[in-house]
Amino acid sequence: MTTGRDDKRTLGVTAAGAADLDEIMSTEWFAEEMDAYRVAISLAFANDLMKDPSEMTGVSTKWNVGTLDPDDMLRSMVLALSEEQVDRPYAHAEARAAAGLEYLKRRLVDEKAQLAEILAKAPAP
Amino acid sequence: MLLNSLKLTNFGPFYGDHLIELDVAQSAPVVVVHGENMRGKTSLVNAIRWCLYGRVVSRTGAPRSTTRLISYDALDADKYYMGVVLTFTHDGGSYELERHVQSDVRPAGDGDLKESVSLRRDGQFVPEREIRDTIAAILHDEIARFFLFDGEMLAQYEALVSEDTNTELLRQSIERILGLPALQRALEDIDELQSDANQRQKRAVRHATRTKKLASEADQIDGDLASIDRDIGDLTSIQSEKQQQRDDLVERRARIASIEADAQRAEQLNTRIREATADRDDLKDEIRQLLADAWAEPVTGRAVELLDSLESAFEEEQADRDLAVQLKFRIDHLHNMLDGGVCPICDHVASGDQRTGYQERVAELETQRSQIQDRRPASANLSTRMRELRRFNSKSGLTLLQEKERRYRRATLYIRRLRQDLKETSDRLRGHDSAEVRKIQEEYDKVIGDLRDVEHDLDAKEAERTEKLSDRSRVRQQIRNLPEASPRIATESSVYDALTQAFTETVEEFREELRSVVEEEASDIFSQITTEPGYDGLSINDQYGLEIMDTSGHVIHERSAGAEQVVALALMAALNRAAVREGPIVMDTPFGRLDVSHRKNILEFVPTMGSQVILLVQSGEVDAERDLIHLKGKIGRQYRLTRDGAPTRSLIERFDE
Repeated sequence: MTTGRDDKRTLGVTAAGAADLDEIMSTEWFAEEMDAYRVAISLAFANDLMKDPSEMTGVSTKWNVGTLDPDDMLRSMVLALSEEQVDRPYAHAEARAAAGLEYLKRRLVDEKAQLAEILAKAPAP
Repeated sequence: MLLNSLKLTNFGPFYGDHLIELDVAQSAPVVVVHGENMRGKTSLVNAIRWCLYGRVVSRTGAPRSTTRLISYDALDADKYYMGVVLTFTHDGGSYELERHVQSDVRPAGDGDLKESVSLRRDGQFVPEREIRDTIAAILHDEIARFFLFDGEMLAQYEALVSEDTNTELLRQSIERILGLPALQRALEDIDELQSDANQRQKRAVRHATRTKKLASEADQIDGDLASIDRDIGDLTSIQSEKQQQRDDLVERRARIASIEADAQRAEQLNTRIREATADRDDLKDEIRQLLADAWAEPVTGRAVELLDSLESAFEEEQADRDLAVQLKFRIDHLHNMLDGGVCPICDHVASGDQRTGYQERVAELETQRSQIQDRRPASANLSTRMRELRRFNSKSGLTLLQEKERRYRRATLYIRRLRQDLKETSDRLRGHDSAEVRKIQEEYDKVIGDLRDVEHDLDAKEAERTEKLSDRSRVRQQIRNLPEASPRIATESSVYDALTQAFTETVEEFREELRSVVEEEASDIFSQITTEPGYDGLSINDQYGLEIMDTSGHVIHERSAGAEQVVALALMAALNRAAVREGPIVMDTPFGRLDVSHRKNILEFVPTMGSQVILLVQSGEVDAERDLIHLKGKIGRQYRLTRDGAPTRSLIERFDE
């Protein structure tokens, strides 16, 4: 795990994201919240979803990056998949997570889609 | 008696109204009803029995609750009504017998049912009090088993050859169908006349002093006999009561047996649910672990696409790099020529014009090299990015997740089915406990003990009676020989004695003759239907049990299950041939244990059994195409019992060959 000097050292969820995460966890498919959080970030990349930085207010901290990204995979993902230069990969991941949680909650809870289906398919543009 | 039609309403699996026409021509007397197990074949036979006699007995012989005959679907639809209408002809008369039960509330037992029966003969109602006797005169309940015949009960007839089994009741039923009781009743009448004559004789001699002692002894014996008869009557009542209790307990035990089976099933289901839930929880943990490990799975496709395009860019960059090296070499070479004025390779001295040309060429190559270097900074981090992307290009997690999720869904469905099954089983178990099983067994053991005591007492009383009868006969003889005795009464009494003796001998002879007729008929039928050439015929015993004889006249003791069934069928057919009454023959599942050859022989024989034979068969015992060819032209009607949507409901459909 490496962070830029100005990047975030802790990650969390917005109020809406916290509600989505609660509902996702109620399905009992994830052992820990951070497992769902990581999947949400990954889904956000797969489906080109991201919250505008202006929407990322009232974020409550959940984990420090050492816990969430012990093997640097998350950071690698941000850097490898972003089309543009990303200076603050963890801040970027947090904004992705907010959008990804919303998507995951909709598919898993509201639409009751299968996990493999959610993870395999990106929605139609 | 010939059956014309049977109409069922909410009887067994027949929810609503169902009609089955049964009348047939003499030339084609067979009605075949096809139906798989649980479709209602036995219910059709039970409906006929219930309509005729108002009761149905189970295969163990215990009476069955009428409430349990009512269609479950009717009860669930709050229709508490069950009815059967049987039309038939007998001795030129047309009969319509209707029996139904109904209740205002969902019946918990037969006590909640109101039963009603009516019988019309040629359109005129028979008074209700005469219905039972009218039916008994046409086809008595006790002989109905020889007409309404359950293949599953053949074991009863097979028991006739066993010395260990109490077959007295069956023997009596057989003798009833053969008409023996008429002679036995004559004997009872003669006995009454004899008693009357003896009473008169006693009165005639009562004044003679020397006869007083004999008369007193006769009175004493008569009193003792009356007392013994009362005791026998009482003991017989107790015996009947105990038998009824035993039958009730057998039925309750059978019910409890199903409860026990349900209890065991519930236990098994609970274990299976626990195991399946544990397996499913393990699967869920595996899925959770997979989601924790393979969280990057969604970006795999995107990573692969990006990697492809970066690899192309990387190749282009490599080509540019090679080109830049070549350009630098050529520029350096030209600079050397310009600096020394001589080519370093061939020592050629450059002219002024040539030097100008070299300078222009250098400028041109430098421009090219600069353009390439301008492009290079954009791909400076390519290999780093590609290395990062290669961390996300494995798709194995998704396949594994699909597989585990599929297994999880299957496990969930399985557990749901188990839970549903458990709920239904638990519903049936509600209100019962294991103590009930023990209590019923204790009651049953006590009743069996009581019955044994009563039968022992009855045997003792019968022996006492025989002794007293002998004493009475002796005293009567002595009184008849007294000089004061009335010669006319003495003669009358002697005639009764002679008649008693004659009738006793006649009964025995008739019994012998009947056995001989049954043996002859059964042997004849057996020879027609057996496929075993070594069998010569059948031999009958006192209980009407039949044994197979070989061609050397020896009894064949080892009989296969199929042979037992053939013998039993031969007895049934022989009894029907020798019977004093004619009735329809309804055979429920008669071919269960027979091989193809025996089945063929029996099917060819069936049309000769009576003027109406109704066969209720399942595909396992009779194949419509392979076997029914043996009944070609003899089948008057064919029906099929099919499922009517729900497993508890059946339909009757007629079809032609």
